[in-house]
Amino acid sequence: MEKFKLNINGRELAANPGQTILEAARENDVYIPTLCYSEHFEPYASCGICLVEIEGFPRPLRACATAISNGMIIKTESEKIKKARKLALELILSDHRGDCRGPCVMACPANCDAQGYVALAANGMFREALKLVKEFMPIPGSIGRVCPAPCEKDCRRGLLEGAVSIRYIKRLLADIDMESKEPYMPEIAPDTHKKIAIVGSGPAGLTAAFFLRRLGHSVTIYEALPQTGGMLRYGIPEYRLPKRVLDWEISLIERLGVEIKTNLRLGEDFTINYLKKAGYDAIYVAVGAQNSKKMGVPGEDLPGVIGGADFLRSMFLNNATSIGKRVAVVGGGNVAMDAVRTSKRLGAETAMIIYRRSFEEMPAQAIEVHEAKEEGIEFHLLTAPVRIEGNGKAERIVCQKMELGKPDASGRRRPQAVPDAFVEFEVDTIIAAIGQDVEFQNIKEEIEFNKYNTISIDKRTFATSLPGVFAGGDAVTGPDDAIVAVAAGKRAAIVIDQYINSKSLELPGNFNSKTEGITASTLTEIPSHPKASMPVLEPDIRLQGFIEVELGITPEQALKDASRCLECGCLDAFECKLREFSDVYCAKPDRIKGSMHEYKKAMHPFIVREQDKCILCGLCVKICANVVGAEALGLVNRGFETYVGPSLDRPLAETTCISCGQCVSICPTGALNENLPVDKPAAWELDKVSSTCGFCGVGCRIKIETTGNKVLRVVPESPTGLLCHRGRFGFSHINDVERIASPMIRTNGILKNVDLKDAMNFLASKTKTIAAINGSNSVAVLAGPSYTNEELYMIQKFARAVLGTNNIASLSEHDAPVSDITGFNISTNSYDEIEASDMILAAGVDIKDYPVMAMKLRKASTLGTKLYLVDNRDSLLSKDCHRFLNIAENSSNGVFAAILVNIIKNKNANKLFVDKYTDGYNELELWASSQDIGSLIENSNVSEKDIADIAESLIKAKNPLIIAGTKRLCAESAKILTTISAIIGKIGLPRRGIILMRERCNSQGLSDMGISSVNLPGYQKVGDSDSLKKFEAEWNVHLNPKTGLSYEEIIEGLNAGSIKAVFVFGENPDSKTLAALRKAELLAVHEKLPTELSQVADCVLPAASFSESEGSYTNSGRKIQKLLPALPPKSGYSNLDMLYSLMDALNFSHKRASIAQLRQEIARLTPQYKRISELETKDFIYWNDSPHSDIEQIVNEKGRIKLSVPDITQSAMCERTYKDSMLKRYYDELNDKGLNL
Amino acid sequence: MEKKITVRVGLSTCGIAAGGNKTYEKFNEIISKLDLNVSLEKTGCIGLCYHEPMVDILTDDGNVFSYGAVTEDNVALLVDEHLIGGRVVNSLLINEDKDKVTAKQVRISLRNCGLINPDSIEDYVSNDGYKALNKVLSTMTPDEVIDEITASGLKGRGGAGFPTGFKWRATRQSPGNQKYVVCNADEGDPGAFMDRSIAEGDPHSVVEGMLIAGYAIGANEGHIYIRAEYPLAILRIQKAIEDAKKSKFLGENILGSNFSFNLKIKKGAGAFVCGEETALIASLEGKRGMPTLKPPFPAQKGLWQKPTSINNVETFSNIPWIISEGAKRYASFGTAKSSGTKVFALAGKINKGGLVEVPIGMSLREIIFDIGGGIQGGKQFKGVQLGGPSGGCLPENLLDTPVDYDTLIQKGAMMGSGGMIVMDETTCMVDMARFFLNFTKDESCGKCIHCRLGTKRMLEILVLITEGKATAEDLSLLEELAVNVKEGSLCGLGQTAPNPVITTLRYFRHEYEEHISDKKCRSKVCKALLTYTINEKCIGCGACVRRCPVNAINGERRKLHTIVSELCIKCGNCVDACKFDAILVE
Repeated sequence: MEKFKLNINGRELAANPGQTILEAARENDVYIPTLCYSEHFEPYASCGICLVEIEGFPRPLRACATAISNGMIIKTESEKIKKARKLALELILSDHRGDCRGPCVMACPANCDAQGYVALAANGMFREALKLVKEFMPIPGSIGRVCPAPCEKDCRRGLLEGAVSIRYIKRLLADIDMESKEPYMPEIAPDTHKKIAIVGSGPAGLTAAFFLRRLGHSVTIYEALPQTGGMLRYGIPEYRLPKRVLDWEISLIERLGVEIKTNLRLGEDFTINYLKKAGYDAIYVAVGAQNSKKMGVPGEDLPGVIGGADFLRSMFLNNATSIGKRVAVVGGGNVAMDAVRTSKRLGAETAMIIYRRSFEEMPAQAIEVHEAKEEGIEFHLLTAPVRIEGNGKAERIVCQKMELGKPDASGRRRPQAVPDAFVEFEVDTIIAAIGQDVEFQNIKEEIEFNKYNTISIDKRTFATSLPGVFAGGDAVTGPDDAIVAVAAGKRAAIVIDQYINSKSLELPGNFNSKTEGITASTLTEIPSHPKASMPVLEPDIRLQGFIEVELGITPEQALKDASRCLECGCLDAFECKLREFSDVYCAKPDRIKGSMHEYKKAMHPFIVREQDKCILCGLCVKICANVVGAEALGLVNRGFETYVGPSLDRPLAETTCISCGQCVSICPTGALNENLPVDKPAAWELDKVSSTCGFCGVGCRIKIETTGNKVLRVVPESPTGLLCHRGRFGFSHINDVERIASPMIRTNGILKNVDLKDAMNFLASKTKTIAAINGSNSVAVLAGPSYTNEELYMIQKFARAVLGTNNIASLSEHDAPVSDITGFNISTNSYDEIEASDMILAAGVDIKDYPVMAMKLRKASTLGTKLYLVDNRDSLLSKDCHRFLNIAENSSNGVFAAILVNIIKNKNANKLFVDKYTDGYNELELWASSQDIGSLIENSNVSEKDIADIAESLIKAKNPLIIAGTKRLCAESAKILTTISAIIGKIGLPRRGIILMRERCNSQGLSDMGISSVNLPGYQKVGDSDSLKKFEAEWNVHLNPKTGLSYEEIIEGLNAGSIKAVFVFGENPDSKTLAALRKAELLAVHEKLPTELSQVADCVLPAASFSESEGSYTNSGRKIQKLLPALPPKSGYSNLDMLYSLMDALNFSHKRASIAQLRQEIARLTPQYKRISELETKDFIYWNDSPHSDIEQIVNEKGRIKLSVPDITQSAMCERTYKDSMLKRYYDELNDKGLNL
Repeated sequence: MEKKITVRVGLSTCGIAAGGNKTYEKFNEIISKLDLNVSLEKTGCIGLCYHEPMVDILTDDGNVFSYGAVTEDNVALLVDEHLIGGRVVNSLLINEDKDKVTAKQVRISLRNCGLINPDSIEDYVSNDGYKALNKVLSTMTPDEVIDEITASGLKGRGGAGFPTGFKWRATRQSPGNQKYVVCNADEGDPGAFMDRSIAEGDPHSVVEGMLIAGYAIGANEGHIYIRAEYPLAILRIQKAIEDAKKSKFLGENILGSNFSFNLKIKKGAGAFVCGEETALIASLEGKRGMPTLKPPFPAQKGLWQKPTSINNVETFSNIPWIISEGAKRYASFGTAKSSGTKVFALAGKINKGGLVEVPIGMSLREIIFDIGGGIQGGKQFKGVQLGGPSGGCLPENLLDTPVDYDTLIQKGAMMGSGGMIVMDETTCMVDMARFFLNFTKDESCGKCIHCRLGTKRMLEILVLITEGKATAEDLSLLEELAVNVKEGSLCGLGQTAPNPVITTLRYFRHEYEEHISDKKCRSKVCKALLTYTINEKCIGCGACVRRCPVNAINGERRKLHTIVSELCIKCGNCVDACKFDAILVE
């Protein structure tokens, strides 16, 4: 069909007829925002955000719901549209209750993610917490000591027993890092070859340097004074900020590669112009404000009068003047406190504060005033100096008494003189600590200053009057808290980087929704826990010198205090579309006001529902009904009172919810979130790795999200991907405290941790002895389906090449169901073909065993595929398929045989196909003629009409696909179904054939990789000498040519005593097998979690989980998919490491191969995996390089499909109970949580 | 024995509400006691609801004597005087008024209402009922039927005014064997009762209309979606369906043709939005009644995803007449662009509230003043709300506007389903907008944010205005919201919900401004803005003191009383109590 021509925002585009504007725009990379659109279903069109203007239409239309027409002219971002979107967002926000970020984060000038690191600390993840802090500041040890902590002022816990001790926690994190052997060093981006000069090494300069260096720029700091740190060093006394802390933090910045040049003063030793000429791409001026202000009273030029900052600075420049016995400090700020307390420490008998207002108005931190009082400082309040008197030096300060009048512009009450009330103090030294100015005399020629005598900048870009020159810190703001300078430094780093890269300026978004109206009385349900108290030095000890007053809290205190966090900020802060769009369209959350709903947070074991944040886009309801089929969520009530609730307002866990988390993934806001598996959840930017799910044979692609050594979340890899509860939430085993983390050997009947070498020596000597005495056939290897192809390959190689045995089996696999017929035990078609088939017969594929497959089938059914379900239990899919045959237990063989008989008897077999490709049809026909359909389906709950209906549908359909769930269907049922597709001639072609749903993530790979007594990898026979030779040549060993023992035979051998040593990889046997295994002389078990088997093993080796492994799984839809490790193995050893160690210990001569080399080896030996090396660059390849099996690949050596007569006496459908340790742990957990899934 | 005299009692909901059942029972009692040769019948509403309970006495010479306000107490009088004595009771006779009210009307849709017994299929048939069905089945092809309806120019009478013939043709042409006819009887506009009256007064006309529609579009199944709040209409339609089945007008091979058709009734649960056709379909299917996107239109994918034609009660009731009398005759009424007649429900401060059917294009003034008899109590006309809560309010200077689809839209109102609520000087236009918005806010299905939240926020602003707490910024936000709700909503409910606000802002903006800047409500409706004081006319009788529920009035006997404004709750009882006009409300 010819494409339509469109013009979107002036661009000429072509799009396919039938598409909506939204689809056409997306296809052409035009982004149209929407909150209620999903590719999963037809547009719901509730949000109205995607409105666009179309020429010729009087009013805007929804892009998601408007079909394109030829020649359409569309505007997606006109002013009218922007205004309409803004209003729509504001309407949503008018009934959206929640904080995007916690009040602590919002209060911090640097927006430091206090909630994030406090929560990490509460979870005991101190290092991750420190890492997070360092995303905002390079000097947490210093800031954690001097910061007035505005975060704590706004902390909602402050409404109860007191704010969370955010500052103490930050300080502790830094202290722990300082004491650690390997302090945290952030990653540095590759060198950009850009040079930046920073003038001033105070908090602003250091912070800018740190972040610019991390971006890969080369950074040089110019510092006027002999040492770095600016006011942190020269303005804050040692007892508040020990300089070793500052030194250490600066040294880390230097270690990143920041160069610092001291004793170079801007305006004296060099100029900005000089820096420009020296080739710096950008210059950041952060020279601070150090010049003490004058008091403006007569006599202040007398010797003995000194400025506060000057006094403190002189202390560190080691030329402290003698101050005498009586010192008066004028001022009420932090510098005044620092000066007066320093004076006392320098030996002043009387040290006093003279301040013209009262305590209430004092700008100094309360804790400083408190400590000053403790130290015996005199406070003369409501006292203002009027003159200083003395003979050649200051001897006396005359002050006027004041009283407080009305509040001034700063909100503080203005002091006014009490007439004729004077007071005077005899003093030796007067320190004027009433503020500082920027030292600008030397630089004002080059750079523009404003009327406040600070550097003038563009507030948004920090740009000064000179191109390429930026400024920040006290030099711009005047004297302020260090954290304000840190904030300036970080923001400057962002804009300078953008300036250098000549990108347009894009500052990070700043939209934040805020919950109003929270008071102590609304926080009634929170149990009380007192705030942590900071241990401090006793005052008399303090005054003996300059030792740090605050001693720091303990990690235990921090953990406890951090746990008090009320979790205000939203878990969805970084992913919320409402926040993103509100930012883009400058929505004001309080422009439209009105009554708001208030709901309670609802908890499900895996899902948190916060209806306060719900925008009623309806996506969760739609996906639950249309894609999952559970209909666990619905819209309740009408109009403004509408809400999304679980059916019948029950707790979600008590509805038809299958805990798949699809609703959470699709929710555009924070209304639905994962119930994160940590004590204290918060929104974090997690590390993400794409991999493949380690549960069932569907083999969904996943994204594993971690922080530190914890998996916090698993989500579908693509935004439109699907997952079930296992893949989404079944990862707690990875973080499980019981994980086997070390090799163990049984000594004196007890398993004890040993190092790897000892374990290997033990295993090697035992194995060698047994093999020497009983022969290598007395050794057996069992392996489970949770290993990767690469690992399974190595396990069988270990068995065959190293142990010399073909006794290789798996407890989890029943005998290959269809290989007798089609040669290989593999699906003949891929999942991609499901939607394209016109008829599907699905047996034993219910939403419980294969939830995601059930969702795929539902979709096919919605799109018009005629879906027949045959199962012995009802499922969510049964009401939405074409026909559901709810067969009786154990009747599947009879039912499928009846279909077969119906086809044969009605002469509907495809004779051409049968003659050309199959053997055994005559026997089958003969058998069929003797069968009575009525008796085949006796007691099956199925009628002859049903059978005829399915048979007819299979015959009539062009592309029928049969899907067999082998978890519950027996081998014979799968065989009969395969026979059916063969005799109707609909196999071996795209969209026609059979998909065998395997039980576990790599059940397919287990067969393919030769975990088998008869098959080498790729189904090459042990007994076939050509095949064997190929392997011998590759492995450079002589291989045992004798077919090994099957699983049953191994058990018999154990019971009979002929099997002496068994290596069990990831199997969790039933009690009968367990009893047999206990008889082995050597039982070695490779496991992730303790099992009954591992408890009785002689040696236990720690196994890695799928999330800790690199490799591949082969799913039931012929895809060989890549796994990447999201975490290092718990024990430090990967599964391949362990196998290599075993090989080494047993003196197998080989080179440890990289995963790439290993894949090359597999490719050389395994025909179906000949392109496995492509996984180095691809996420998946197809089995045998094709999404479906061609007929030529299915037929056996003789070119024929071997048809066989059904044996309907075999058991038919049963619930298999095999669960390996990971599954078992997960189902135990579900049980504990009361979920029956 | 041949009955000579027939007594017909109006027993629609309006008649019953006025006591019609008791009147009927009384007649029954007396007639049987006296064994009079009188046939007692019931009928539907003829439209003069303000006269109910109405009784017609039909004499053998063909005269009809209509009596109004015939309560059970008057029955004996009528029996004695008229039935027995043959003397007309002039005090109750309303023939003159009836003639006046009906003079300018053209009754097509309402042709049988108030004239026949709705429970009697024989009555319907003897008034040419099912003649049209017979005609289409025996002489017309489905396409000819659609052509005829198209030629008549009939537009959907439910509100949107979509050409009926066009809709039928689209449904007929949609591929598929299974198609449906749906009758929308979910009349939800406050003050509208056209469909109810037709269903109660002439149910067979709806059944016949649906049958003809079914034949035309190729459907053999029809559904009537009717409000559960219309119990009498449901009963009458149920009976009509049963009787039609018995008479072989419904069922298999109707009238010997190949055409089969069955009808089902579904009771709606009272959600206004279910009058929107896609929401109605969802509700019929047992789902939450929420509108969905169009396209696909119901004519393409409707009930159970099959092509479906949805028309309302009034539309269907016109069909048999058009088939019988011809499209040309129908099109001779009305205007060039909008042919035929339209039924209106007159309500509010009008003298003669009730149902009228007039040719489209008649002016508002004619309808309200000539037919409706003007404003109650001689008060001043202020505005008329057309088209229900989604419609608009037109002021006095637009009284000569012809009532047709296009002109009304142009003026900011709409035809809607035919609701016409007349307001006088005592109606505050802000309060009126608040009232309608309160309705639409509650009836929003909750899907679109504009409708769900926009109407709520608009209402909140209107409340602030009526309480004197709003600012000029609030007013501009109200206007901004009104425009955006209109443009941003998915279905008709949201798209039209701001109309009362938009039109009152267009025509009565000064009232909004007075509320906001002067804190005054000129209609003295908005309590928060009123002050009650007592002037010098007070003689100190104390009547007001006794009626004041909050003891806010003080004063010695025979001396001027005063109202304590802090206590006064502005209930207005004192005004009612005072006989001396001494209470001043400002």
